[in-house]
Amino acid sequence: MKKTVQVLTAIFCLLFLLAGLGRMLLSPDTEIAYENRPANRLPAFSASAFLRGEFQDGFEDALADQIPMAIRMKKLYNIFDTGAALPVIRALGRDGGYVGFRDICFYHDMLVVRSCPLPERESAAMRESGRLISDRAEASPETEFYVYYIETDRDRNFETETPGLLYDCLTESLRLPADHVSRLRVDSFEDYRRLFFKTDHHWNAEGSRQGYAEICRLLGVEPLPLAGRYSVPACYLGTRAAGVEGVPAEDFAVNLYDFPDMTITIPAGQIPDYGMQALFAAGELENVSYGSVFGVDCGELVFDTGKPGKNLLVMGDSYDNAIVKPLAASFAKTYCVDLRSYEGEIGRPFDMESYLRDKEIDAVLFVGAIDYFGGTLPREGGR
Amino acid sequence: MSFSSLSFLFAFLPLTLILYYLSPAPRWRSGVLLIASLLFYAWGAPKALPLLVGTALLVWLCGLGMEKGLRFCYPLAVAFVLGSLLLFKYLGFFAGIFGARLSFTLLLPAGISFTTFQLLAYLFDLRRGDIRAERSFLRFLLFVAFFPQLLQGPILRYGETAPMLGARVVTWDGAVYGMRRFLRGLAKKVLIADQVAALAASIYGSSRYVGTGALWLAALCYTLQIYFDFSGYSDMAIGLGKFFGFSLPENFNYPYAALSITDFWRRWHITLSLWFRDYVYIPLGGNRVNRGRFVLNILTVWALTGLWHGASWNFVLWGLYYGILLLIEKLVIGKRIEGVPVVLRRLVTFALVNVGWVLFHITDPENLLRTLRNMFVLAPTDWRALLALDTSVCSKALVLPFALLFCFPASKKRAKKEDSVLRCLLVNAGYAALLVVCVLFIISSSFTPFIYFNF
Repeated sequence: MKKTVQVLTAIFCLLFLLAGLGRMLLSPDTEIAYENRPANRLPAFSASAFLRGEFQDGFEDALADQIPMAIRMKKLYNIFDTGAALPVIRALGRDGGYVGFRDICFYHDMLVVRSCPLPERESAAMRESGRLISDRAEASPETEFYVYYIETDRDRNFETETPGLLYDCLTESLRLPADHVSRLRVDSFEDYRRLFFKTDHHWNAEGSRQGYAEICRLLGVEPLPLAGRYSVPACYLGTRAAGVEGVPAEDFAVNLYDFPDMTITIPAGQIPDYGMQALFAAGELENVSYGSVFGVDCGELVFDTGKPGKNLLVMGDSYDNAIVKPLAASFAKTYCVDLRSYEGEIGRPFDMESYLRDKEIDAVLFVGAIDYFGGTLPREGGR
Repeated sequence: MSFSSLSFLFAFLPLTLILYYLSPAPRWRSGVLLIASLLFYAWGAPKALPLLVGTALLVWLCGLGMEKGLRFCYPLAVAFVLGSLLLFKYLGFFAGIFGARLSFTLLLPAGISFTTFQLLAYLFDLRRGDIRAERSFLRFLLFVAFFPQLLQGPILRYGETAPMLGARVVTWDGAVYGMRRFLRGLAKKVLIADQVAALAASIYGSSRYVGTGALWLAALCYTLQIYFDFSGYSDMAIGLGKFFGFSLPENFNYPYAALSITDFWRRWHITLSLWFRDYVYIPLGGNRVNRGRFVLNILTVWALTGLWHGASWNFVLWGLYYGILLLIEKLVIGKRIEGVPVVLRRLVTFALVNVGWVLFHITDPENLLRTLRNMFVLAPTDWRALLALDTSVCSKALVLPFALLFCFPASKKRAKKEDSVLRCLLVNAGYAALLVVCVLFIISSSFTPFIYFNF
């Protein structure tokens, strides 16, 4: 009997250990919904990748996503981890300061990032972005260039009321007319709470509406009138709540507009709509996320209203997903380029000069927050 | 490849076990082990593999040459093995002593300190005539590269290992013991060491708010981390060895239960202590010399022990710290220590070891001095600010009492015979659950949501 139990235990352990490898090789999961990302895939083997250790790292990552019950395990761990911390978070939070948990902070009822003042590296990256945009503008004098910077929780320390001065770093090196540059101002925690989600880094309906109106003013076009706002209570947990169990879901709202007819194209071809705002407004969207409602990120997105007018190029990241559709209503064609995935999806690096020429772009709008101007743009745009 | 990595647990280990046990003959089994060991090494340090194999080849050839009376073989092999260690591990350090800076970075081959000592012991034993040279290079390579002990020991002696390099007997009880020992080691590493490590790192990383209390807590956490990490690894190595019919030497024996520093070093990293005793301390004359020479011998051995751990002054300091403590114990305190109550002896030894680990851990001299000063000169800790930096340490702190408990032999229950079906079921289910919980913790450390991508 003793031996039988030991044999069964050994077989269980062996099968458990082999299951991950089997699944990775035979039928791997393609998406890790809990972490809001595609599953890591087994990398192609090459001697050089092996010598550099890249194959081994990729193998480990791919395996991590295919272990039996991996998601449940992570969830269980996060419940344990958050459960142990929540009483302390509540107790410390009563004093009103930042209370950290892993990479994020609880601040009053919001999940924020405390990274202000930012290190010199990011301030330098902002200046680099300013120079880069100015150089591009001077290389294409027939095209108007605009910049709209979105201040977030990373631009101000709410506890000490210290501004990060990142916008100043950006404008310091920008050589554009003053009326071509603007920002979404976050001057206090109250501003931030009004304009952004509690559990996500993106702007909420109020923030994106304000941003849209200010961008229209910047570009000299009339914003679409707001036809209403549809809100679903307690249905949304943003990415900052990922792995933080026990945080209450928040309301999710979308601004309603009467959009003109337009064709929408992504690299894979024409699509019926970008995002599912209509479905959400009809109360039929089950999994509410910023991407599912406003549209997922893609390297190139084109809106064509078919009417005469100017062509706009929007250079940005996921923040602009919430405003590109109403923005496109004011232009003949609106091109949206996301440098993070452009090369991967289109198959060649982004070349702004030829893009502006080929697409007959009249105006270029750079829009984003610190991650864009202090990261993506200087990293990807300078190539 | 680490024993607690997913690649090891979910691919390398089960595949190696299956191939090993399916192999029809002892020679095939050794072949499987050798190939697995080389793959294990190449997985983590592919560029260092030729050095490992090349060094083993040279030492093996020199060993054969020594038996044939070729006098140049011994100095050649010792010079090559020691030279490799000096070149790859210590060149930058020694260059720094002379004010020079290297304009290049040399790759540090994984486990080089362990393999070097293993090979040196082989050469020394051979020269003394304690062992015969290994005739088969493949067997010798397996001795050097055997994956359970390759990266972090225990340091093997050829004389003890040679009988197991050929035919080995794997018993069912041995395999079961191996599995359980491996799982206990994995749990020590993943469930305790990694958790208290996060606590220590959190405190050491927040110097702004940290005072005396927090620094002692950090020292305690690091003390527990290094023990559970290293002894966990040794347990896993010994357990893995058992899977394949090897009996690897014990490396730890509840070192934090030691009653003196001398006792601590009989219980901590035993195979290293024995190596230094047999190949450095005794050849220098040991304690059968005059007092001055004895002091010099002790300080030399401990400076070298420190240096073995890393190419940095803090390691030398750490070694000398123990050298001085041992000298005080042997020359000043002597037998009077036996009159001190056991609890007090244990506490003082534990506190001294804690301070030792601070010397070991902090490489920056300025930071080290500041930390030591704040440990002994009362400075307040802003606990609220410290905790508010990252409250995720709360779950890690829950591990602390268990870590302290498992440091001492009192936690070691006498193994009860699995004489009833229920007990047998419970014990086996417990070990299976331990595996799943360890995997849960390993997987969860890979929780990496992409905050700014693909919503």
